[in-house]
Amino acid sequence: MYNEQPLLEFRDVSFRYNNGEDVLHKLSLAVREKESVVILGQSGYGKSTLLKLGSRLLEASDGTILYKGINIHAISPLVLRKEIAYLSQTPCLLEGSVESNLLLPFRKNEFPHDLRERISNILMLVGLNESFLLRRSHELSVGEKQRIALARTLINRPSVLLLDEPNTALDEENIRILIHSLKHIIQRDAISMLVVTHQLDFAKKLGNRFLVLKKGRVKEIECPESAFAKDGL
Amino acid sequence: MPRIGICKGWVMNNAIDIPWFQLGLCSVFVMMLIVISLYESLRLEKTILIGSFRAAVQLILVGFLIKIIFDYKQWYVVMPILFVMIVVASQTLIKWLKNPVKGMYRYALISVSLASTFSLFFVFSLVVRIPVWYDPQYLIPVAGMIIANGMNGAALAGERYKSEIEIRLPEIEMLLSLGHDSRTASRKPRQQALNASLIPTLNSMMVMGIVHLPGMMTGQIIAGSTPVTAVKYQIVIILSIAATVAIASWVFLSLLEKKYFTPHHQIRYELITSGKRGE
Repeated sequence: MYNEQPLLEFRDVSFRYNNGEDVLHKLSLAVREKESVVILGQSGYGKSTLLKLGSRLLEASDGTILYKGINIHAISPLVLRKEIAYLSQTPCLLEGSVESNLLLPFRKNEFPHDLRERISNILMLVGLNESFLLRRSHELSVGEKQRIALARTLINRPSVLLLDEPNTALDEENIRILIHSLKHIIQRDAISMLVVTHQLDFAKKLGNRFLVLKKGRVKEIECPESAFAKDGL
Repeated sequence: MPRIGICKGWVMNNAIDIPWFQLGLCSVFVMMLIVISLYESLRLEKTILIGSFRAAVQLILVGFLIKIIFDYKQWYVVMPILFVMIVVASQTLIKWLKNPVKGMYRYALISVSLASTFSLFFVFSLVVRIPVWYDPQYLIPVAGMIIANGMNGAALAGERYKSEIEIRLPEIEMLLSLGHDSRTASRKPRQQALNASLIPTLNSMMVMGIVHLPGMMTGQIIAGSTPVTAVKYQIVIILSIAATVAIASWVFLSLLEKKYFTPHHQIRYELITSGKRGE
């Protein structure tokens, strides 16, 4: 059973570009504790925009977004983004070692006391080990980069994870590891997820609830297959 | 009564005057430019002709005007001239930027005037110590060099900053999403932009006196200043130019940061890219 209090909630949220083009229109959705909500939708329907609104990387044109019942405008964006972490579709690692990339979320001289333990645990969680720490980011495969990027996002211990097509460009083996890691995170760390994807199999294995994003609105569906059958994804 | 240092040279006591006809012989250089342009189909002939004509006419007019200003020597004449120089430099800076956005002219004006005022104040109140603070014979030529270089530096920095942000958009988004502020997230573009603005000046400093004999110093020596005096002035000028470029660029970039990012540490995509945000 899930806690009924939504951790992250969108209430009548709209988003339009400066030229007036509507992307999201009065969209409402809620993500509860330990929930993994999968959003299905075609490219260009505003899935990434929706996630960026959640961590306030973009500003909604209308509506309210609540985190633990508090309007996100009342929370510093810098604090909010550590609580609601967004991971983009393409893993972005900076030049340098894996270790330096994992330390990016922390400011200089503000490292947590259990940093070593955190790094070790996180690497294990994403199916890697400490031997990767000294490897250069350009030496990694796409799958390894994606897992390091996920580890870096998790090292801040967020409450909500916003994942933008995390399975893109990954082979089956890496997708399997990714799903295993994400499921483990939900169970162990009580993290909630809002995941965007357009792959049926990935959605089925990861999601508890499924939403379809179409014409700027979301619609809840029982099983992802119906979205592919009815909505032509 | 002789003036201090450089002034002896500036009144051209010892320089050989160039008769107008002989000056006209320099049009041979213009013809050479045109020949190369025609031979290589550069289609620059019109620009070369207009540019050469404008340079000559503008300089001749300024020559006469400066003589009047130097003779007149009043602060209420000198100050508006400096103001016009800064305004024109700021307008030129904006023209050099691709797709300048609203408010940028104000930023250019602030950065160029701040940096130039600081350098001019420092040079003339502490280093050269001119007896009359608004003496146009010193203030106008040196201000011209300082303002022009500050303008060039800030323009280079501004252009590079925007393109670096555009190229590094995923990296900046990633740093913002990890909870960093926009200042930290845009550090790399800022570093690259400052490098781009400072490198021409620093390179010029490296070869100064060996490959590059600066125009001002050469002019002073030809005009009769002692080489040591001319060299001292040149050191003052090149160092103050370097500082002006750095200050103008840094201030301009800091102001641009407020333009390209919101107070909530969000990228203003519409000013960086073609206007599309996210997906």
